[in-house]
Amino acid sequence: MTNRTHAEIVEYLKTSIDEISLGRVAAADVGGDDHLIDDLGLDSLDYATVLLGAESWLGVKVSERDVDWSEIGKIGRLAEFLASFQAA
Amino acid sequence: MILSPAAPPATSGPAFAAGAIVRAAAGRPGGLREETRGVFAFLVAAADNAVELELQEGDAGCDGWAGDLPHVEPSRNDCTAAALTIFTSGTTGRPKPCRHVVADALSRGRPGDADARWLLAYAPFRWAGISVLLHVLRSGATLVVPESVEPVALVAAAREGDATHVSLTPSHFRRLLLSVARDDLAALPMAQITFGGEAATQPVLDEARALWPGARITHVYAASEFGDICAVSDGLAGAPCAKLERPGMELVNGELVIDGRSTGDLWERRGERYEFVGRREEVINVGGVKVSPIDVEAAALAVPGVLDARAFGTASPLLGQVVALEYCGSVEERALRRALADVLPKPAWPAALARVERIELTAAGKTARTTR
Repeated sequence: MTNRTHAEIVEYLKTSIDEISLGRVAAADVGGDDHLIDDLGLDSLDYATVLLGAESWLGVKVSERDVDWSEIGKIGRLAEFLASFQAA
Repeated sequence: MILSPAAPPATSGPAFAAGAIVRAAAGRPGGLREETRGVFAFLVAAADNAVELELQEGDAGCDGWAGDLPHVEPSRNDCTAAALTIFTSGTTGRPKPCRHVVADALSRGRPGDADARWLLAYAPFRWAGISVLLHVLRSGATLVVPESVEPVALVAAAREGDATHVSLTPSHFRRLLLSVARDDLAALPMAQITFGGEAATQPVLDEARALWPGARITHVYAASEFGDICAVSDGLAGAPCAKLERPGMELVNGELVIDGRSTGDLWERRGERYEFVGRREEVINVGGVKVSPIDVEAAALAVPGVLDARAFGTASPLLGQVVALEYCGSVEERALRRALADVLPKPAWPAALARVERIELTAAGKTARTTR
């Protein structure tokens, strides 16, 4: 599987948020520094759905042991976190 | 292949000698007809002899396999009552033996139609298949055995054998709808459709009614450990309350318990009926909220363009589990997601959604809902 760049992952997350929110949060309105829950109004199930989709798209698997939830609420940080699971 | 008690297969040989206890391997690929012949012959012999057949998957520790029953040497000769033992793990877990005394199993259930020609759509070494064989024996009817339980083989056997009755799982029925032209199905002169093995949803019952308007449509709730528990033929999903409020039955935290033994099946009272919610181990725990995969599937199947679906739990580092849904049909994922959001509570919204070519079934023909 091809490694994705940080920018590509951010774009994927924006599109995913648009889809998961059923269009309530348009991809074009999502900023790279937005917090998914505090700024965009997603709930925990939306977040879990975005994360699951990103894992599948990237071909990676995130376990609870790997996560510090306080660090990956913002789009940019989440993208960095996901990118770190890609093969070196 | 046609089998009937009027012209039974050979029942002579060491496996049918009085007192014989035989362990036979079951589930060989491509062996449906030979296996059925063996089990049927055993059940015929059991009417006159105390013989016992243990059907287990895999060859280890077996005396032979079901198709070779006349030639199989028994492992013991001290059987005192004709019995059949099948091994079942339900949906998960270690296989455990479930022993059925043949005389008791034959005496339960109502007598059937001797003119019926039953199409076998289950493996004969599981309770669902054995139930059909017992019914044929009890009623003196005829059994039509296909080469395999794949849709094309089933329909071919139904045509060639002039089948009028069939028992199958709802998932198998949906697979038939996906694989066989509606006109070909509607042309089969079916008089009785019996759904079993898993919950028959209202869309399944309605679809069967539309295909065969003159047929009797029944769905049976059974468990390998208990045999047939109740049958419903009123055209509605679920069961009237009276069917599950009989002596010896109770719901404990939603799980049906019969004579003090847990079934592992969850039921919920909705109005004047009980509806099957799912197997205990199949219920999806989304951040502490229990979601029935059957409810999710029913919602998906009610969306125009969805032909088949299965819901199951998948691991989530945030919520423990979330709902995953696979489906067959023409509707786009985005449109399905929106449609489900309109009818399901939020925890039941699929976090993973995928359109697939076909829905995975277990070896027993049931929708595979094991949590991943």
